[in-house]
Amino acid sequence: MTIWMREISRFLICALGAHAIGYVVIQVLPNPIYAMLGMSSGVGEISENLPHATQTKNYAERLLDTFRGDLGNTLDGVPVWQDLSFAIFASAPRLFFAVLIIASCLVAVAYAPKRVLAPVSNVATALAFLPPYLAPFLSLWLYVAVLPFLPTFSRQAEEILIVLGLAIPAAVFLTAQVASITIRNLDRPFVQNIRSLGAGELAIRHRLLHHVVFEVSPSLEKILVGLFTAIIFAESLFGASGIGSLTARAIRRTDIDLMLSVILMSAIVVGVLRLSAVGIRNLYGLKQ
Amino acid sequence: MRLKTYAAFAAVAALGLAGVFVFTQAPNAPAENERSTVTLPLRTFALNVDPATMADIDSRKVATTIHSGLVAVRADGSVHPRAAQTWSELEPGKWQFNLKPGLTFTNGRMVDANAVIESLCASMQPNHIQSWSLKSIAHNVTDDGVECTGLSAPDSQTVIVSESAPTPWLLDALSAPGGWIVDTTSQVGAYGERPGIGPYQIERVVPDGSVQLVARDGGAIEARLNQIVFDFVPDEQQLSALFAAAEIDFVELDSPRLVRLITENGAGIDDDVKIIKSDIDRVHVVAFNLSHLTELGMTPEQIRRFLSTYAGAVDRDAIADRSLGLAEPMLTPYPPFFGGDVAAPNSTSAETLSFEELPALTLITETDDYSDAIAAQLPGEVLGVKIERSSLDKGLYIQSIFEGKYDVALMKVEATHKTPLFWNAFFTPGDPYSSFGWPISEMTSVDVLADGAIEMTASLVQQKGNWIGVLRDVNSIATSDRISGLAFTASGQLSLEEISLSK
Amino acid sequence: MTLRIVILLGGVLLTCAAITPDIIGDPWAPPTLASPLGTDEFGRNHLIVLLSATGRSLVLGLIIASALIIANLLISYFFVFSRQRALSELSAIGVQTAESVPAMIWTLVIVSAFGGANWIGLIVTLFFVLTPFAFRVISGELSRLKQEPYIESLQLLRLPASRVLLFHIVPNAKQVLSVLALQVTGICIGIQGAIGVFGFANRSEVELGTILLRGRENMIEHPVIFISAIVGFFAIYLLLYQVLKAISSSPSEHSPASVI
Repeated sequence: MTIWMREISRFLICALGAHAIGYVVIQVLPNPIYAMLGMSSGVGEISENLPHATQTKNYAERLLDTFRGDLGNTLDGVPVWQDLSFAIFASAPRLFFAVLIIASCLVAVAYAPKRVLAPVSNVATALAFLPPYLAPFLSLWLYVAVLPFLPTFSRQAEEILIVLGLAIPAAVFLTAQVASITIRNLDRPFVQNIRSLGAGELAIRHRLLHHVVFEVSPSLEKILVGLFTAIIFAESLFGASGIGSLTARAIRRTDIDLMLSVILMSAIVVGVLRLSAVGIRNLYGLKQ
Repeated sequence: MRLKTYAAFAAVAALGLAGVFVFTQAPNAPAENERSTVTLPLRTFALNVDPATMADIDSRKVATTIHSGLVAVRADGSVHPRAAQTWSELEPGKWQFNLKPGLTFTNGRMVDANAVIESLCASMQPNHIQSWSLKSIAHNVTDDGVECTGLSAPDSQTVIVSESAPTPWLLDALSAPGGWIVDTTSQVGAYGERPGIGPYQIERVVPDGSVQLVARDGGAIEARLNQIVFDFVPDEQQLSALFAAAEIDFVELDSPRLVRLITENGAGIDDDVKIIKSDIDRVHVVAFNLSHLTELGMTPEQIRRFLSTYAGAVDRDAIADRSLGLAEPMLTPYPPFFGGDVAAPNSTSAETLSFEELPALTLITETDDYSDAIAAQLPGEVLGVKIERSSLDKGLYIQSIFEGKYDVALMKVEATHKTPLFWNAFFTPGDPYSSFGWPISEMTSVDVLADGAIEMTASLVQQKGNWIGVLRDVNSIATSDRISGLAFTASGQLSLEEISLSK
Repeated sequence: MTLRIVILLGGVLLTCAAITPDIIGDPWAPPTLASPLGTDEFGRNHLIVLLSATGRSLVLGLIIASALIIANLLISYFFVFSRQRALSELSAIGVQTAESVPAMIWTLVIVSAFGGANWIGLIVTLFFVLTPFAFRVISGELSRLKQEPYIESLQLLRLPASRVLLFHIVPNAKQVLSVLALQVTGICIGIQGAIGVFGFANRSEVELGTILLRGRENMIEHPVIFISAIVGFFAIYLLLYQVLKAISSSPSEHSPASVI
């Protein structure tokens, strides 16, 4: 119970702390009026017609509003909760399938023959060095290349390629990790023992899968952050609605209410994942 | 254990199927009525269709379908009825407009003369971004705003517009965003939506995705389509591929890369594609921050020498060639003027001026392919002073110029309607755009309607201003044979209100 | 032998970092003997641009990785070896707070605040964004080493912290520090391309991330830009991998006798 209380306290502190840090950092961003009004930025009276761009709430007021469920309005005058919920629902299927792909990679590597594990680990480590936006770049190129052949399925092709673009960086990272963990585990004495007792390779791998899950659980947070980063690129490049495009738009336009909400949402989701990782490790009996 | 495993797999599979179902209902997919729907591209998604604050090109394209003025003036000078069915000039500078019966705003409110006057008067207030365009209409400036003495309504269907002095561009101003008729009694909605009198209204906005417009009755003109969808396509390669696949119905060729993708690489260059060209009041100029040059230690003579040498060093022909037909060389720094050579450097006392101790200057540009391509071909060193390059995000770019925190800037400037007043606003002290030009005191006494005013102003700007002319754009639009009805305003901006399917 | 070749190549690349490619001809000119990869959209010899960019990216990555690791070694040592549990807890919360938000968001926000992708802004951004990650990795390793008997012995002998850090901790944390250096360098190299996707890049900048970004934009017409940028990334990876592998596989310097 103590562990959970400590972790939940940390979760709350981190979420609110990220929100506060975000507010401080955002203050140095350029005034959104410049991007919105262009050369007419100099005429002070015009900006009066942009009430959502000239809000002067202080942090305490914003925090209180947040607790009351009022996340404010975007620069376009749309309630932030409306834009945010739309974006989450738009991205949710993509994230779901990306997670399926990543989980499939984990399982595939965990059950891969031993002789391929080392090359897979080396290749994956090398690929993980490449920037995460490379996969969305290649996805977009593939989309442009196949579009002339699949005009009636352009939307579906776009969605599939967005999912691939955002899953691949995290999948590569996890593959490298899982491969090296599996290589190490296969050489453990207890594996040699159960093999000598007649256990089949599949049974051994099935048993080791638990170890793999246990060992990668602290990386869940990193994988999620990687997914979030990749979705910012993937959706922005394709011009697709979702949490990634929303985040990019919030930053480009210095939309303070929207940015703070995205930061808070991200902090909450990452915090929940950390708690999940604690739960998984508790499940395996490891005390923190 | 096996049962649990199977149950787990079944649950995941069920979730997966649900995901597939949700996944394929892509939110961007518009309602299909293929015979009377066109899909057009948006290159940025920062939608604001309120004429009072609208400042970006993509928003304007959308707004041309939902807003109209009393009349519409086209690039060929022809004037077409909109809210006004007929009009006549009662005397020089005094116009009578007779409104169409049965005209309504998108919220159902009837449009009468009072509504038109309220809208025009609101556009003349200082908090309206287009107020400068209606300045010729008679008015009094008070502490509470502008009193629109030049607007009157003898009856509910007649509007009289009187100018303080006649100008040849009043009708163009009334057809531009400043003259668009909106319901001033309504609140501004999300994305700047205000009830207008255009043939379409916004049905749905998918954030970062698309804007879907639907035809309506009671507009200034009849809608020729059931639906228009503006799809957000930020990437040029994707745009060209969608155009080639007939998923997008036109592409504005606004960069050399798009020209190559659409017209040179086989994508789109066939019998089903036509390229429409038109003049547009859009120019690329290099603007020097004269205050900053003075702070760096340049004397006024040095500044003039530097600017005129820089102007002479710009290879406009080469830059125009590389724009692949998107622009022509512009020698003058004053866009309304179409003649004249670049001033030759004064070779008397200037020979003794020294620039050796001056630090390098930085040329800032917006971050886009076209601006980069132009900037790359501008002189990198003039009179021993190095000029480096830096691209900035739009907001930072505008802020840098507005706050005077720049050395040199490559600017793209587009006039919203065809009048020298727009360009003069960059050089007239106290005018709204003077931060992006250089205030010249003599400009306050320039009478734009006088004979020779354009030439005189061009000379003034050349001698005392801070702009160097580089390119004058040519509007190029690639369209599929499927659509027609693209129109251009007098200043060359695209209007989509009459877009239709070709017969 | 391989290591020597790698070091030689590294030296060549670092030398190329000093080259400033000039405009030599028309944009997108075809390959010639003088410019085997042709010219880019600015009319520069693309091979020279690539070599210079690879060198500059390597330099940037190495500088930031080194500075980050040194700074975080010192900070982590202070927090981990401090006797105050509250400090450790505070540092853990601070790191978790900073990492609650994806680094990309912080990066874009800070770059935007600094007025675009200038070098100073980038360095500050990378420091701010990567410090929590580096701190977590290094403090984790230091926490592990703290439990080692020889470290406890050193503490009992009251050896100066600098000596403990330099001669006993760093050599035994080589593997972790090597992997961290590799990861950080990779992030530093790609960062300009990342922020370029959102419109903050100076596209004529000679560095690999920007070349990758430009390569993506011209993938259909001029794929050589994109492919060459990826080759540049792999060249740096292989170079660093070999060097760091050699460093981390050298025998650990530890036995109790070496304490004195």
